[in-house]
Amino acid sequence: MARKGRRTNDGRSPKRGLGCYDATLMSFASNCPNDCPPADALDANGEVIRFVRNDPPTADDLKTYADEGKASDDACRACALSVLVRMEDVPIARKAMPWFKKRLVARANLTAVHGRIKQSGPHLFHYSFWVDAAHIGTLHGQFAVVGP
Amino acid sequence: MTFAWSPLARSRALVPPSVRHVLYYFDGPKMVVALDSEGRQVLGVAADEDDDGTTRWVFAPAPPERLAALLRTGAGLRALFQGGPVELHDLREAWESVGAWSLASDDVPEELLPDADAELPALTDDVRTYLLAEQAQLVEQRSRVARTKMFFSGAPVHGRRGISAAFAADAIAGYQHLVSLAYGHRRRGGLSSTGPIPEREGSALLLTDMPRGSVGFELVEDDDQARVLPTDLSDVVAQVGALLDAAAASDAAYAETVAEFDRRVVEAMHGFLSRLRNAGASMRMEVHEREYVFTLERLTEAADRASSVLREEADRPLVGKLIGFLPTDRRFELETRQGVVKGRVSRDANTGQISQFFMAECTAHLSVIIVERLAHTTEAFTLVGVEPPRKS
Repeated sequence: MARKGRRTNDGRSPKRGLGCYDATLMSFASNCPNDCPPADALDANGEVIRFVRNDPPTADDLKTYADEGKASDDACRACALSVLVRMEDVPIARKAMPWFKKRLVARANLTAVHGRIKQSGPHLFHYSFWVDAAHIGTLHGQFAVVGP
Repeated sequence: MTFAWSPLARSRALVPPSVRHVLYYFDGPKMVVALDSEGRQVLGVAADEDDDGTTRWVFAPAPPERLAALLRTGAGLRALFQGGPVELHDLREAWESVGAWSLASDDVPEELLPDADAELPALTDDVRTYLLAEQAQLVEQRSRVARTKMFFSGAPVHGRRGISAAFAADAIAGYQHLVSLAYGHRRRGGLSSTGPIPEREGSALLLTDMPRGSVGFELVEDDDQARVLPTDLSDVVAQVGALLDAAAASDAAYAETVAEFDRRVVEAMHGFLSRLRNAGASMRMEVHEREYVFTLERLTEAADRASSVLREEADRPLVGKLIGFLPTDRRFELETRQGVVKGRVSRDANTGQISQFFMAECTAHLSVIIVERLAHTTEAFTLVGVEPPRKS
């Protein structure tokens, strides 16, 4: 799923705290458009929450909308994982949309090496997370189910 | 695996609502504002999924006023899904429907509905501001279609328990007949003295609501198009409201207002008012932003005035100076040797040509309505056209 070759993005800020890490050499899923993630996406840094089916989470739980072959009018957002950045938004989502009650809540602590992140969509606390190609297929190991 | 619960039978083949806005996205839309197959705004939430990735959605009517309140306060999400019809749709990717049901919200299991204390998840400021503006616009557009509320009191009304069905049917039918004639006159420019009402189908009003806390009815034009200008029928119900009020007000107001209407409309108005009066009813009428109160005394006077003798003088030339002319309000003032004559400007008049005579001497051509009632004569003038002055 990783895009072949490396590409640079001079607009991105350099990574901090990871001496061997160079953000300009990061690559993303092959189903992402060339200008994706957007230039104003930030390094992943901190806790994110994702709704999953399995405990422990599997690679299937971290498939993007695009990975599942679903049509979207926003190819860049579709090749990202949806995550929340506040645990208190979990009950809000579950109360409003019963679909979320069918999923488990998993949490991960991410760093810059895992990818880039940006608020997207109408919901204030929804973020799109573009996984660095090096972590596609293994990132589920970072997630742990924290609640039903 | 299939869903744990499904309605017993599909009510009918339903087209999935078409999405206008996504309110919550998480690996795809999970809450949307959409339009159902009849063009009504609905709010949908993702409620369940099966192992094949089919998502079950529940959609509930979301009129603009209620959606705006939800956007402003965040509260009231569950209320949209209570006490009314909802639609269930099992949707695969690409919004392909593989099952659909229309049913009462009470028939939907609790676990498929938003919780009683569910809030609208926080939206970005841009999205919230945009949606609020859109909903406000939709509310405004609703006022551009014909809408009348009639509230009754008096003899046909039995406290808060109800209203005589025969009276209610008679009153609604009488009002609809009056509006249909006025609409036909508006559309065709005239009515034959008898026979079918032209374009009657375009004047149909729907009984959509019985306003709570009162004994009354709301009648609305069947039109769900987004509109910038009022519909013809919207204008007509406003004119009919003004005519009814003028009939209750004074001979002068009535003479001036009735000039705009065909005689068949006046007959229908007399019939409508007489029915209400004979039943001992009182009525409060809301037409768009206007409110008209018809006590039994006012109804009696209006019915009596509507039966007065009307005569029309098609062309009365008057020489004078056009000292007042308001083409938008359709008003004029003509200074003559006998005094100032005031009145309305005909809808058919050439206002551009008339404006050239503003503050100039001219011969004004007026149509005159004469109301003869209780041994009094009242005249109302409508300016039809002007021309250079000639001796009268």
